[in-house]
Amino acid sequence: MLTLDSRVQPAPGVVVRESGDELVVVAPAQGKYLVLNRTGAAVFRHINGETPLRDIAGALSQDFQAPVDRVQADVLHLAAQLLERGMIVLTEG
Amino acid sequence: MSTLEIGGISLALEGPEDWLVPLDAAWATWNGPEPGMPVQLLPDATLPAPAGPYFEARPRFADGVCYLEAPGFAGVIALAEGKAALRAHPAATASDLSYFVRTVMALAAFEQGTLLVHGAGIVHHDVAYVLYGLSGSGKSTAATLSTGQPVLNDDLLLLRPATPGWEVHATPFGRRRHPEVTAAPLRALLRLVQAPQDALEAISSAQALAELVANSPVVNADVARAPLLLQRWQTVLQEIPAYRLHFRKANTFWEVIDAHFG
Repeated sequence: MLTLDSRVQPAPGVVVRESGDELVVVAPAQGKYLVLNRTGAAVFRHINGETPLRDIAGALSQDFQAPVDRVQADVLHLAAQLLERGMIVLTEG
Repeated sequence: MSTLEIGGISLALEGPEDWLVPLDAAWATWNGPEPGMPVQLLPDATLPAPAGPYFEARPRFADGVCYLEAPGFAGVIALAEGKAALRAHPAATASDLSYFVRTVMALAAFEQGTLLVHGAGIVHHDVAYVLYGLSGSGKSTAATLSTGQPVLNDDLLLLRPATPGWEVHATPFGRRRHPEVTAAPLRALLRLVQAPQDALEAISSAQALAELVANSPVVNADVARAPLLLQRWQTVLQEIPAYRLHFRKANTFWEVIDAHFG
């Protein structure tokens, strides 16, 4: 189950491409494609398999000067979407 | 042996006469001067009888090699070795064989710097509009509604870099109108959306990029080719505008296009 303590990483084979302020995320094996806006792109760039979602939200809260509880909810929501599309996986251990 | 040439990409088909004759007949006007990469079509009675049409098979990639497998079919496309071969049960149909050739063409075209895209290519005022979208998006409907205008193809097109911009080439993998028109300069990429009113909707380059990748057959399933596919479409989008075209089932959508593009 995905929580703020979860650590996630891009799924194997996922390819990303910057386009303007947005980020195109492609999962060829799953045939899935997603466009992330500036905020979503920032979340994805922090996803590294080591940083818990809570810490990602904390960093972005400072970057965007937004309330941490709202950013946590946004990060969790986006991570759930990415997980469902097979674009990220939970890090073991 | 017979050849199939689309927009300068050539394949040389090899196989038994009773398999090649219907393909030759269907592609009679697509014979190129260059023999191109060999594509072997090999009957194999040891394979199980086909359980369904071959087009239901999805490509699988490993180390750059594409495998297209289904009961009754074993296709391998190894571009690095310049080889493509399909072993198929003798009950395979011309449509099955065509699907394999189309898959080889998608990969060979990409290898040579071009792109196949699921789209209807309609020539209007001497330039081509690519109305793209997956099955059911309305490509054939839009082509049918474009009465009197050349249709390069209503399902699959080849895009090739030109000076300047890109050009759209006809393919034999769908329906055409005015087959004497085989290519035209690309004016715009329009993602079809069926709607109650005709309208052009601006979309971000990232959204267009994602949608075009989704409409790039075969190649978009390969993890190894995906970065280059994204890069190539991004190059196209630097020169060619992309919009969503909301259209109702009437040819009035051309008024919207004319009002915007002239």
